[in-house]
Amino acid sequence: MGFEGWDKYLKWNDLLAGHFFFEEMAGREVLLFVDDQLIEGLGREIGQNKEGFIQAIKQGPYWVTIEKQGICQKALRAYENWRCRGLSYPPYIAYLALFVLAEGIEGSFSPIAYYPRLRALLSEPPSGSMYPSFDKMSELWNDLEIWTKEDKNEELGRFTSTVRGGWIHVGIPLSQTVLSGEERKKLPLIFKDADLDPSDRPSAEEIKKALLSHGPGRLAKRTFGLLNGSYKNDILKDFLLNFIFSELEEWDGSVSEDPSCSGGLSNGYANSNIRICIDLTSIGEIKTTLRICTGRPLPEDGLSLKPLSWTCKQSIKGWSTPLRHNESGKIVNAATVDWDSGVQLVDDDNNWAARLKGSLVRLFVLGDRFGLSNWVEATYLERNCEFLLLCDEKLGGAIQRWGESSCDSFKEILYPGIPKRWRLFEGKNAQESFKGFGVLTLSSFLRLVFDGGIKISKGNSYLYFAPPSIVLENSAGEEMVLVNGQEIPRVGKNIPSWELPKDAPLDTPLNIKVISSSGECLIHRSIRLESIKTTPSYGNLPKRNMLGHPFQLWEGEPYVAGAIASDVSVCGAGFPRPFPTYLSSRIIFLGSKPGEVVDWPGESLEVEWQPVWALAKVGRDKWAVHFCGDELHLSSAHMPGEPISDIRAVREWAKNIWIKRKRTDLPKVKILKGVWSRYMEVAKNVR
Amino acid sequence: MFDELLYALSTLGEASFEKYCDVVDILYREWLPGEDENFNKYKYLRHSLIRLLESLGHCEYHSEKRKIFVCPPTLILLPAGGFPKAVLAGARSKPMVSRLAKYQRLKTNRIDLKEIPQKYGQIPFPNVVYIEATNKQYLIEAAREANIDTCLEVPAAWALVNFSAGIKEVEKDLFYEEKSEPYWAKRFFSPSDLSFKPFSGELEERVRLISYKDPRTQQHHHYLWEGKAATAIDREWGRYLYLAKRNIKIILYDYRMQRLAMPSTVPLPRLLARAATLCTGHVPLASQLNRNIVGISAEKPIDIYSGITPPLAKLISEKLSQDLIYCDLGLN
Repeated sequence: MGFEGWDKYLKWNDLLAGHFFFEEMAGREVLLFVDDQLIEGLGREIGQNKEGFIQAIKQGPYWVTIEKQGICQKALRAYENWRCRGLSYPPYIAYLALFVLAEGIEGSFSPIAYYPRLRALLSEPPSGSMYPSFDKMSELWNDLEIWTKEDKNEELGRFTSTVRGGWIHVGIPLSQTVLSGEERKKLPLIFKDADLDPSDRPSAEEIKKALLSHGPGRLAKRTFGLLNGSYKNDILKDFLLNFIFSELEEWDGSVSEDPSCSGGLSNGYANSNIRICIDLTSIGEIKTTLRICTGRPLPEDGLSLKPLSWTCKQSIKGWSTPLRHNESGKIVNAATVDWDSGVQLVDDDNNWAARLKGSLVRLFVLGDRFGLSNWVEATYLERNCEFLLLCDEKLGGAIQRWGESSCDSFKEILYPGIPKRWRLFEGKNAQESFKGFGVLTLSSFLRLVFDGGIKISKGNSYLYFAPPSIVLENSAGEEMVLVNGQEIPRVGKNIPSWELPKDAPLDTPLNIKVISSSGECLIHRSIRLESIKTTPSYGNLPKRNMLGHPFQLWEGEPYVAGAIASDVSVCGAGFPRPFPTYLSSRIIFLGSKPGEVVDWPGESLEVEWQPVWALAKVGRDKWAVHFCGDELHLSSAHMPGEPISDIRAVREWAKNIWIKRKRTDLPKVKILKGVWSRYMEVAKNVR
Repeated sequence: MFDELLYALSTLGEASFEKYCDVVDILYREWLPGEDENFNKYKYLRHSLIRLLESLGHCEYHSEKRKIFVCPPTLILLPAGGFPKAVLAGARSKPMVSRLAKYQRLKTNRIDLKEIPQKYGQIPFPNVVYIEATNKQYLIEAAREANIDTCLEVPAAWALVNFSAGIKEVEKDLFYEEKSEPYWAKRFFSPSDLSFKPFSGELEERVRLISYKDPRTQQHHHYLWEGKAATAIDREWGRYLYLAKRNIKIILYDYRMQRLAMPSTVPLPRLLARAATLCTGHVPLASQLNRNIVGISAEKPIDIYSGITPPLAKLISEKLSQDLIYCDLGLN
């Protein structure tokens, strides 16, 4: 086949790569979901179809010249030294896409048969044995992970090549099929209908319930199968749920127009959750308060919530101040609210709804992870942390049995201030879930979160002076974190967190690995600390008209941008040269002739001579001399002139220059020191 | 530490207001710890910072787009007598300032460079970087070494104050029409408090400046009412036009100290604020009067701009249709 054939492979490769890896995916997990529909759709852009795709795959990129090689061999040749070829994308992505496409091939195959599907896709004789060199394809998957995380710093998305599903070689392509691109696009509709909030952090159970209830018509049959167990694969199911959890975290709350999207009380309103907070610091009793937890900033004037007439304002990011009674201004006692049924409040002026969800079990964690003091209600239980638990007395016995058998420590706390019919427990390091309550379900999925810091790109780039902390969620407590191979010490007591080393190199990827106690690499991420760079372009800088309003600039029209008024014909000569009165609240101005002196502000600055020096008071009896003359006074020929007739003024002039000399800071510019010293010489000799 | 705010904005180039708030929250968190009550100060902190960063020529804030754009780094001429003096405005980085310092060390005979910390009230700001040279050519060369622009023909303060519109130009663009009030949360500009206050019902005054908050977008819209007719107006100009129509004077001028002051709740319109700030390159002093002066009570916070020569003060007051109230501002 001629060059056209080679070109087709790279065209397919780049089409597929561009479909999965682009700027809007920055920081988000990428799934290489490939089916016939995708191949046909992309193929139309280059006048090709699925058959053309297969042919291009079989041919390979132009530098793979040996004809009779298997697909995996050609993939390996494509991969070798690819970074030296100046390509935009790794050139083996099309092969990886083929492997995922094979998973969806239909036919009389056993449900777990993969290689027969792959051979069928390639129109090769059927065989159940491993495809030659397929085991080496893990190098390509791993390299793709490195490319997204290190080469591209997650700026085009993040790919993780963890084997899932219980199969060593087939597990990676298999796990790419848990959710299609179309299903992923519809997740915001499901989130909205299920009333999920990104700040909610629902448990896996709650997410599963939401997907099953609101997924019909939006999720594929296969996805439902994973969720309801008809397609049994717990590992893939957990992966799917945690993937969707990540999508929820990234969700900004917006949805595209969809007639199938149901409304409800919250339609058109910003939804938020109210959380109970517990203060155990008061000796002998607990106090409970309420705060709103939301990903959106509160209105500037705060909220006024009806029907209970409570108010609050923005506190630290993501939280309101404690809710207060509007009339009295006193903080609302959360114990006065029915925690079983919850409460729903609205601020119609600000289109805001806030809800305390009803529940018989309420979990609390230390608020310092959010930047708050005391204990704050949480929506999921983590391993290896301290917690408080409030439950209705109906569940008290079961909870106590669970806690005592599943936690490192668990005991009831008997404090006044707990609402009637509720019991309070304190626990540490739960190791088993309490079935039936999503909030007490432990997730098995370890997550690494970069918390805080000033991010400067869509990927994982942060300013070096404001780096993020590394936080592990659902940590078992024994993990190590390595940065570029060096272990870093854990700093968080209650929250498993780590700080990047102060001497971490800048402007280069830092490899972060989370290692289990058995030495297994559990998570691999990459981050960059960037030095300060000024932006290369200011083309978007708004231009302002004479009213100070941004406007659309026409050629030659005057405008202001920043400190600069452009194209303005202003006569600089007309500009009045001021005395530098901002230097101090007392300044002695001295002219070039002995006697030319003004002690400002006591004396007026309206004089007929030009000041050459401003002796500014900078301390109790400390002065600093500033030059306010012009270039004539800098000439080596310049000397102070003849004294004026006012002897008192002449002596005053001399006193300020000579007598004060030991309390006067001299000018820094050398040439000025020289001029000042001539003035001192004259002043010294004044009688 | 607070140069980091400018470094961050310089690296970002442009940022949404939310991103800017995140940056401020991180950088100023240690300086203003705690939550809740302190955090309400944060709200004003963010707005005060951005307003003053604009006045210093460091950035532009586009309120409709809710975005901040950093300005290109430029040496801006100050209106000072004596040697030409300039301040560094716009984007900044440590290497940039280091290059300026390096050039200054080569030319100590001709150039002085200072970095001066500054605060607005208790709020720390990025340092002022002053550079003074025996003539402008050295400033130009220093800028070239640091790879920054210059604007040294005319002091920026003078150019800005001459470019800026005044009340008369603002009035020309207004269009009054009879309308009914929107049923939105509203605040009126109180002539006694010189700030916006919430109210319900109707006001008796014929001339009224009212701010309405759109519940959907949370944006404020300002209307100047005369009887039953109203015109939409910008908040900054609206205050001064209202004061002009009510003949209320609020601009104080200390002739001797060459300082101009006004209540903090009635800040100067944007370009005039820049002009006043760039007389010295410093943020205004946040202060209080030590006595009542005309309608301004002693407790009222005021902003005081230094280095305002009488011609500049006169020009600003004319543009605002205000007569200067000459007084001793009573500060040490």
